[in-house]
Amino acid sequence: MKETTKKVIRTAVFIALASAVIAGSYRVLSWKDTMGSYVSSAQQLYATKKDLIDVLFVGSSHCYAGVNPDMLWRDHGIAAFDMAISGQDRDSAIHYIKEALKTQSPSVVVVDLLATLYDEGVESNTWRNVLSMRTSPNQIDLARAEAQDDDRARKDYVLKWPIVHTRYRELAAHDFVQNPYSLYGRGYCYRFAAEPYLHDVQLDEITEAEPVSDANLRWFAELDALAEKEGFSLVYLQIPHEVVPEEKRIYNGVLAYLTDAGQTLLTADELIGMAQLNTATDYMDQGHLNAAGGEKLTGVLGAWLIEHYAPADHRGDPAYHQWDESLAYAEHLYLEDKLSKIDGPAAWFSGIAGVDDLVVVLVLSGDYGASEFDLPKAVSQIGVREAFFENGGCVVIDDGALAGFLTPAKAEDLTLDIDALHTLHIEPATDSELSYSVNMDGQEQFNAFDGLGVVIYDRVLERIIANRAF
Amino acid sequence: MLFNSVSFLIFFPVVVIIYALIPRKLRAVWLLIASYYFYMSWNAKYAILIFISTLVTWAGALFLDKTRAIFERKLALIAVFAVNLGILFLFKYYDFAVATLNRALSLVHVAPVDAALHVLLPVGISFYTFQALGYCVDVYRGDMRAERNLLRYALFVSFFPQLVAGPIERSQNLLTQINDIENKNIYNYDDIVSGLALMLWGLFQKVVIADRIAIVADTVFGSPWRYGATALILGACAFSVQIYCDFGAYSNIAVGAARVMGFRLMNNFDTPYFATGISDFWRRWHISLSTWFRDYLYIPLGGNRKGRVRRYLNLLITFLVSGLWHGAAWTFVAWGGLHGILQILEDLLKKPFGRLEALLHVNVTAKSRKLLRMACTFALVTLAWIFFRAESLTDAVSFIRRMFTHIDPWNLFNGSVYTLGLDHFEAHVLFAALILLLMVDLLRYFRKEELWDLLVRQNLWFRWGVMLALLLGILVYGVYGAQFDSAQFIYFRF
Repeated sequence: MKETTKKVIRTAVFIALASAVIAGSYRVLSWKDTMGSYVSSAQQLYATKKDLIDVLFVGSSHCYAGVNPDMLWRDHGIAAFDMAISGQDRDSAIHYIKEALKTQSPSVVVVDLLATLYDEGVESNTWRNVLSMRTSPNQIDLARAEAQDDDRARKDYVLKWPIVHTRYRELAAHDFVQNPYSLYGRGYCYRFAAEPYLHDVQLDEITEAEPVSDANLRWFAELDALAEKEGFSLVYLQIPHEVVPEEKRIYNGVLAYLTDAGQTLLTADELIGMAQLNTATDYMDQGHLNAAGGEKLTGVLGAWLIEHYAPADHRGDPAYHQWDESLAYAEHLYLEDKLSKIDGPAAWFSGIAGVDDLVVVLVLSGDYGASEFDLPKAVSQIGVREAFFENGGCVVIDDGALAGFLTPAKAEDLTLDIDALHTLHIEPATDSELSYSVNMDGQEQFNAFDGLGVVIYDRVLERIIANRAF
Repeated sequence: MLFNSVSFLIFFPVVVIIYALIPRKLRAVWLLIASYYFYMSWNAKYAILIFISTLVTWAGALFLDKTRAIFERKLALIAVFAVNLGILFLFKYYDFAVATLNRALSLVHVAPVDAALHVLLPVGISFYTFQALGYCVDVYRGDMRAERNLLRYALFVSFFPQLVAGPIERSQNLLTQINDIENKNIYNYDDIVSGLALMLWGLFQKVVIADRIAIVADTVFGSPWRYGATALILGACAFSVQIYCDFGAYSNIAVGAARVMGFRLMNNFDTPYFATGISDFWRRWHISLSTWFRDYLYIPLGGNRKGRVRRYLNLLITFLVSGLWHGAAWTFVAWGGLHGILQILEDLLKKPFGRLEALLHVNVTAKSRKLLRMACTFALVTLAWIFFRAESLTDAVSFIRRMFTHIDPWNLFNGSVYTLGLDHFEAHVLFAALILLLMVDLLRYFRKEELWDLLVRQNLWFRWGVMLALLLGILVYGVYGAQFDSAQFIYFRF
């Protein structure tokens, strides 16, 4: 009996151990934002505390590129959230609203109309939508809806592991250490680059409308029923993007139907006019707005929301710290973008003066005194004294304070562990034209041959945001 | 229901738990239900075939047991063979025979006959047919009493762990255990642990090694004209490893699953690629089939008893039939024939080589000599596998010809090997898994005992570490899931 009890305990411990190992591995392998190029809104939603979101935006990449909750927070104190995932189809939209409603009670849910354009999504987008959601009856329902008759796909979607296990090939640091953005981001995806395109004006002349498909009708009915049951106001949003004639006809049909049905609707034409969107500066491609376009569109949406629903201003409420943190994160992204666009050192250093959470490395090389710029004056804005230019060498400023320095007389190495993942290492260069070799995590950073080299590591973004030579 | 499927992952524990909980008298019934369910998950209709085979061999054996008249006994045995081999022929070889006939007709400019059936090959038909026929021969020879209980006999034919890809069990082993099913101690902790460990290792062989190295074999065999000798040799070697790990995996899972339920199945593989000759290879490869052919075909044909020429002829016939058993195509016949010829040559050259070695004062006990013999055997077996894997005889001959005419050793050093379907990362995963496979086989080879029996005796933490590492290896590095068309176990086709 004693031996049997031992065996039972041993088996139970082994099963518990195996479960822990599998659960830990799943955590590493699970679908998340590893490359920084994809925002896992679901993770951000799960990291959001209960009953904070007032306005929920649901949609595709058009939504997470066009509607910026950080701006709604900054300008109006609206606690908004983009529950947006690439290629979010009708089923995913419904199920993600339900998922959000498990912990949140938004008074307004704004639904992107892009899903009305297609019946079949791209597989990788389907994976993102299905795999990002936590396993629950709602997720199983979504898996069933997405897989339709494909039994194997349904199993894969529900189990998740058969799909995500192949991620062993692409694991990155943030698969092991939580990406901070996925903790407090509000679903928006920042893209600063602009790609001008010519709008096809002939599209504006298409007035014919496709009859609304049965799938779309069912979707609208389901959304209506959900809104009524859960007591939120439903708003349909057509985010501006370039379409093909076929899509234009579908949109025409859908917009006419929604208008006739008395639904609250914001059309792309209205929004383009109100936001003064410019195809030369406000789009990252024909389908998506960039950060500038997003800011314009969000400005209009914010005013509209205030006018029609008057959501509460939560600024200053500590419960909403995630919105504050998200905005701070956004400010660092804007800083990175701004630094890439400034030419002269005076304005450049002025841009980083007083900004927290930056590690700034300054390296003087070659005949730096011959620079056309007044470098000592520019650099003095971040607290570096003129003596640095008299002695030469290298200096590291961490969050406004001196973290270390090297001079030609001090031929040593300097190593600074910035955080658990990043290490800065500076050593005298073996290349005679450079004074120092600056290394971040083993990667050699660009440096100036004759002048001042600057490398900036951003502790909030957890990466190097600028690498310039003056 | 593949062993490496989610369905089996649910099916097996459910079967085992219920098996352990139900009254002892119901155990056989429960396993029979589970076995038929398992078989019917492929194609429910084909359960009829297995049932017919079961019924005919059961009734035939009862008759053989009861009747003493030699002529009647022979007639009964022939009838049982005729029905079972008739079904096998109809479902497996008929279309092949028609295609061969049409090819022959086309040579004499006669219109082909349109008589092909195009039926789907019932999974594992060759395995259960041979198992049932072996039992009848055992009863005929008096080595075994006929089983009166149809239910127990049906379980012997359809026992799910080994139903579709063996091992082809002997009635003396499996049927005897089934008859003792009520007295079985199914709570043997060591059996359960070693059985599960064996299943884990089998899954690792299948999804981590076989299905990964299959990508290389498929790439090379898919378009051999693209490649020179280096890639072709690598592709052929890849297939050698693939088929070993694929079939070995199935056998391990089958043996392991049976062991969890308290049954001991025969070992089907004994480090075959450490064989020092072709005959040695067949003592180590697919042991249940090679001993079946030895006992039920080679020996009845006369075996070694009728002189050297007859022995060689018997050997050749046995291997040609073995080739045909593996598949209804001339490539399989050629593969079997080649193995037969290689064994004859091995026997013929044994003495001259011995004399030559004596003349050159070769140390016949030297390890290097053994290693060389292993390498030569592996090379010959791999050469023969080309016929097994190729789509046609022409493809196989062309493949081998290119191996000897398009010599390009530089492709071993310029990174070309990473263009055979596996990039650097995947190749490194495969390489690590192959090292593990080699270590396991070396342990088995030198310790002369099953690794998993060895494991059971190890320290708890070491054992758990091995099992957790295997589990994680399978789950993470296994080739399965989305974008992967789960490769069936190769031997299911036979």
